[in-house]
Amino acid sequence: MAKSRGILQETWDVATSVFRAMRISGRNFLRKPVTVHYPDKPRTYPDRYRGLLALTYDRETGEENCIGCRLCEFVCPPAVIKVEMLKSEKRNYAKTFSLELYACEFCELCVQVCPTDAIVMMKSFDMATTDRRELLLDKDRLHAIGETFDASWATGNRLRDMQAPPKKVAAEKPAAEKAGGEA
Amino acid sequence: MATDLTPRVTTELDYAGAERLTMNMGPQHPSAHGVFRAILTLEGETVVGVDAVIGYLHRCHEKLAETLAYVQYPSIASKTDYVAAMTSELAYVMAAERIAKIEVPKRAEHLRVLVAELQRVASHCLWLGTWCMDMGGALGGGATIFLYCIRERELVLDLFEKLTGARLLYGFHQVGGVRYDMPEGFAADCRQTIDLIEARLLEYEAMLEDNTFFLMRTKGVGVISRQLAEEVGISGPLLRASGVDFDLRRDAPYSSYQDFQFKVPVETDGDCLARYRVRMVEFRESIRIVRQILDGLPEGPISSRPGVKAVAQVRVPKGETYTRVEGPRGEVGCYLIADGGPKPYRMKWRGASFSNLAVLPFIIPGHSVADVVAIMGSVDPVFGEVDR
Repeated sequence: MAKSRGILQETWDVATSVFRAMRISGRNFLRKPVTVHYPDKPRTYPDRYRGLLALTYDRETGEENCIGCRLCEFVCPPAVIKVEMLKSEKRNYAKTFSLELYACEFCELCVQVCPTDAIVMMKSFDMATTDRRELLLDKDRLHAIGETFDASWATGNRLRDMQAPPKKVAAEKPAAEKAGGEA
Repeated sequence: MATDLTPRVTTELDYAGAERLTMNMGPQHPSAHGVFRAILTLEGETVVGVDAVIGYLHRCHEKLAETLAYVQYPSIASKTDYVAAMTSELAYVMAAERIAKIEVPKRAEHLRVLVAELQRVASHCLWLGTWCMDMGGALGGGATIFLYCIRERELVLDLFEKLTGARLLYGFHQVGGVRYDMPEGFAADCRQTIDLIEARLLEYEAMLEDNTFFLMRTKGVGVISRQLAEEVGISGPLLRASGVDFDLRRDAPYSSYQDFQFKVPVETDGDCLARYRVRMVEFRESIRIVRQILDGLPEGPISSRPGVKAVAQVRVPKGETYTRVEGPRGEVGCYLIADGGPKPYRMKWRGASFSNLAVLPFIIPGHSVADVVAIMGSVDPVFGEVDR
């Protein structure tokens, strides 16, 4: 393409191309930077941020919310949650609750299915560590994380309320849902 | 594993030298857009044969889908094509919905199209940036366009973060609708972002279109003829750049694409420049669709089924189907066989990048080594989708 034209024409083309590109570069040079100097300045998280996982306490009674029902264990796609139930008189508790954060994929399904809003996500990703074992979280650490960071908006009940179809639609198709195997 | 090093497609040249050089490009090549190994056979500087070796990123996605329930898999499906995660999720849930004959509310359908089009903008941003970076310093300073494009892609990812909480792998879709409704102020943010991106597109074009270097690197490079395109079975922007007027969004509307007006760009040259032009128009058409959605988003529920409470909640009756959606890279298909339980019996992906990559051995021979990266970048493969 460039062969048919002379060397002068080619040089001129190259020079103008570079000049035009540099003009746009110059315009961008004067714009405000978009980067955040992260460790020095905190990052702002959106409300629904899906970050670290944590267990919560009941605000009124101070008891832990988790009833050890193991729904999160069953729904977790990479199977990183392990729960053992502790049967008790009034309600059940989680005897052990372990979460392998290094394999977690932050899909929020455990939060979604939790009937008591016990497991939530935090607005933080500050979990960098040099030891893999520190990312194997047990019940105490999960509770501690819940006390340290801000929880994000999503809890099980909120998510299910947002997704729930209006009652009228649900009443119209009970047969279809039975066939669909409503659990 | 013994690999056959004889290239399958070769071109004979008048070459004075006596030897052919076999060179590995990849699997860890910075310009290969992923773990892709191309065994190039060179005569001097010219490539005469190329043999593609794939499979370095194989994660048994199709087998994995058999072990995961319909509730769980959508958030994993995003990992097949991680640059355009929303598309594969959509293909999977559409397959389950079609077998089970589940209606999806209008609002959910519109939200699905909204995220699919925003995802197309984000994906094309990444493509433009990395492709121009591959072609290197000739474009007025190497990483310039790359950084500009990533800056704009970040804005779209911020939108997704506001919507779903995640930046890359969303898990936005579920069988029967979507998992997240729009948060407050999202529509305004969305409008602001797409306005900004539309303005910035002009800058990219001003930087690239008249640029002598850019034209030299792309014009007439890697020509895919219409016949070759149809024989190999490529799809998406590549197919449209070769003169075939085919877009699933218009020709086989899924979700709610029939409600929106958009143009399907077609170029007839089939070279890298044509593919660039098709994608630049697609940018704008996606933005146009997003505007139409935001203008007329219907109120109502976002899911026709109650929110997921347990893993076996969604059961799909016996049946099989094939659904296809138009991803940023082409036709993404999902073949699903259900056996009545909470998990599919068998699932098969049709990755757009996988089929598009098959065209490389036909178009690369005859070009120099430097053009290989330009051609490969213009094909825009994502290796998560190639190997699955």
